[in-house]
Amino acid sequence: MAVVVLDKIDKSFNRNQVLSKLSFKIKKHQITGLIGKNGAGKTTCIKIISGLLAPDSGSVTVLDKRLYPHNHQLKKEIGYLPENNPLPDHMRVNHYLEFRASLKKLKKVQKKNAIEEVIEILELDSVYKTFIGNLSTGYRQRTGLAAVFLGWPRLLILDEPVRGLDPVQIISLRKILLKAAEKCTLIISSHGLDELERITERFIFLQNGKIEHDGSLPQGLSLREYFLQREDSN
Amino acid sequence: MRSVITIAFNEIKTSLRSSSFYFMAALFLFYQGIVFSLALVQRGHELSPPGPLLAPYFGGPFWFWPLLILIVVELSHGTIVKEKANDHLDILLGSPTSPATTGIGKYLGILAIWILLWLFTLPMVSLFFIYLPADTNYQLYPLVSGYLGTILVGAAGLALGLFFSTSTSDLKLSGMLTFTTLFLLVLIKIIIHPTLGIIKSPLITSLLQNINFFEYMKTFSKGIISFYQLFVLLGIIIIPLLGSCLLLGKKQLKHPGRKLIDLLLIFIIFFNFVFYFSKSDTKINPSRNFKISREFATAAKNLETPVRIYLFYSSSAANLEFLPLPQIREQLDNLATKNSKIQWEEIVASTPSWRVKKLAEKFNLNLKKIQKDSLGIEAGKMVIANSHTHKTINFSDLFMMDINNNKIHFKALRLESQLISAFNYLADPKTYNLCFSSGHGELSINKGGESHLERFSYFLGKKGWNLQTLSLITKDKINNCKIIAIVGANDEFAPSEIQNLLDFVQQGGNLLVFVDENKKTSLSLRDFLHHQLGVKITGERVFDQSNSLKQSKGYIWTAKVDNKLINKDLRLILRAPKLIISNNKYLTLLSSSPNSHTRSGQGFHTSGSTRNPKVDENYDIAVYGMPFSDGKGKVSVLGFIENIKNHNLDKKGESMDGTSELVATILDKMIDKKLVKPVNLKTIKHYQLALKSSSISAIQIFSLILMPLLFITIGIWIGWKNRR
Repeated sequence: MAVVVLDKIDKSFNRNQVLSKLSFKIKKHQITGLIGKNGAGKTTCIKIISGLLAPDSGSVTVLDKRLYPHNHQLKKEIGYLPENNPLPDHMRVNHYLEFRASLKKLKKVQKKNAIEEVIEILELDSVYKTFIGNLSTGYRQRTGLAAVFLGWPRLLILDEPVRGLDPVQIISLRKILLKAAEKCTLIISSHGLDELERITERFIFLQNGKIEHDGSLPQGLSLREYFLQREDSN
Repeated sequence: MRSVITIAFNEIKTSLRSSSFYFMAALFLFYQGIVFSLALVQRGHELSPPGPLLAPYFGGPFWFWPLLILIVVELSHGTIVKEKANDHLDILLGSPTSPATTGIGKYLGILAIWILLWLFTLPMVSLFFIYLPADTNYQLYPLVSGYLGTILVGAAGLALGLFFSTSTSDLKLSGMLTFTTLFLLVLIKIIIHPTLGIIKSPLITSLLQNINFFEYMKTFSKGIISFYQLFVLLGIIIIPLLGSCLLLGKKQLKHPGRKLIDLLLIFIIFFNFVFYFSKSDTKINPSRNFKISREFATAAKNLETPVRIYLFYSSSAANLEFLPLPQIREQLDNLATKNSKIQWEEIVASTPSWRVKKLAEKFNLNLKKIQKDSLGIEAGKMVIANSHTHKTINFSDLFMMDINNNKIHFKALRLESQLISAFNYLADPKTYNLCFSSGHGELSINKGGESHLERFSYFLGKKGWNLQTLSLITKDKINNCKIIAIVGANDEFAPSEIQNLLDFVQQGGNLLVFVDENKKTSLSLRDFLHHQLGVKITGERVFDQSNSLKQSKGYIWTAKVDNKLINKDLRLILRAPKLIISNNKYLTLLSSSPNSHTRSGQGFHTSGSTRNPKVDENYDIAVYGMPFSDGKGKVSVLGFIENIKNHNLDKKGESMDGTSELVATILDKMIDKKLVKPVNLKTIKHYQLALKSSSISAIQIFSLILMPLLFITIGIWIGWKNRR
């Protein structure tokens, strides 16, 4: 069963074509890596799948339902972590998670359980009542992920989840994401190619708003090598 | 809905957890404390403006709004733009809620904070009511509507702020746009000011006046909730809010342009509505309690052609704010709403346009005189006009007022009575002859000396009477007279004159006699009145200390006109009028109290002990005649002339105590002219607070020091608690 189906998506900004006839499907529990150089259309593509940006043409289907126009309820099944993991510094972690859980319309008991679960998975117990502004980069990233994981949406879209993390934190995050993949389908956009290679089974390489490559890596090539090879050929 | 509440609560919680909110609340309360203290000072002033007790607290003066605008800007300008700046907006829009939910939730959050700020002022207001003297008469609903008004006006400002916050990506730009827009609304008052303003077009002025929702507080503060104003306010709230929601969700729409066109259409319809009401002068009834009198309804119904009412006054008068003009406006609005034949407009004479000059010329008004009127009501005129004719009424005739030590205290508005009178005049503008006898020691209507009637005759002329002087009472001369007036006749009448008077009355003519308090009345006239008409003029004068304005040597005597006849609620100030006794077929016009005493020559006639002197009978001092015999004539005898002499009247023949008006009313009654009953005499309340200085100090200390300090302390505590 395809969790995400993109069919001939076009998107342009001020006559600048960012995505052109983009089509792909993502299967259930699949971890898909979205790669490409800056301006390739990764974030636009992610925003379209997240329900934040309507395409100019084409259709987006998530869990067999059309996302556009206006299927706000479907967003309950989508967890989206934006590129720079925006968090309100003036809020405490617990308050923020409660707020995000409420936005996901979780009932009182569900909310409590969901928060406890993500706190445990992401090991946020020690910073539970800390102001977000006082958190380290790692904990900030975990808090962002915790908010996305709340209620376990069936599709997780993570834009640069490893940005700013040290190697130890990256290893920790890898474990978390692999664990999350047991429950969800993941789309990860990242420049951390080495890390992406470790957890991703399928790569969609975007170039000028079009798919240059879709599938596993060619035999004997690392993602980094493959990426550089593609860049050289262009 | 749940998501809306979640977002709104998050907004509120975020504010309450921030120390800056408490510092802002402290500043807000300090400022409100100043406004409240000034309102109390104003209420303690001799010329405390009419209107509900706490009306001056809610947005009356210009300086009420600047700080509140800053607070509205602070609350609203960053609402969305900050979320955009840190990409948190994507989190909100990416959640399973619509963009409208986000917009409305954010808006309700900041609106709740605005309401909360106003709720913080309640302890201050409550303290005031604790200190309020027990006998103070006040109503609570103007207070409620005042709060409602401030909340709605703030809500409109917040909606505009939210819109700018959504439509820009720059925090400073959003703040500047919000502040500029709101401040321009405040400046409208100056832009359209009749003297200072640059916009003179009545249509644009009216339109701007209608858009300036800050001015709505003037009606809200008086307990008036206008549907029109509610509509405009809700429009100003809803349209920017819709705009914000549309902008928030535009990226998620394939064709946002279509929605934008829908919104534009809503705006155009709304603007047209405002424009229509600005143009038509028709305002939706602002008063739910207003009831039109039966007399007014009848008079208005009898109008054959539409009438237009013009209020001419000078806006340069510094006292305008203290005058009951708002009450007049309100009542005219109400009357115009109830009757489509009536329209009204204000004509400010300070900088007259070509049209104003033409109107003044048409109505024979002296514009320069109106412009020079420093008080605002001395020369102000109300003109009631139809297509054929018009009637002019002085502003001073619209009010009942006391003047003591050069201070005016307005007691009531008698607009409706005056309008009925004018409508009746417009329906039947013919004039009647009022003939003054002469040659028997009477006062002259043509002489300007202290003891004559030139001013009084001028006054009667303005009332529509055609005045004539009779050198001799002959049949042919009195044929055209509707009323014969004899004022202070001391010399004898010829028997033929007496006979002619008798015939005149018997054939339906009317007779009005004024008796000189200080001199003996002509014997022949006295005999005629006594034996032929049953009215006895005595040689005695009435002193009535119980009704005395001042129990001084002069025995200034006050009395209310008998309310059975006509309750003009005028207080006459008479100096010991002549005692007049009548038989039962006459109505008493003025009567003495049981404690009055009379004096003839040197001694007092009293009954009972000297401590409690009483006259033997309940004497009349003036009478009003019922129809005489089988004829239709009426006779009135009044026991005084001092009050209508030139030296007791102003140049226009008006007296401070209303004697001139009383006589005019009696004259109208005598000719069966449709009498203007005192309908809907609208009481003007001047709340002059007599708070103890200690109470005022307590309220000031509480509102200016304690409350702000409390919030500063909370702010510091929260800041310390939130330290990172």
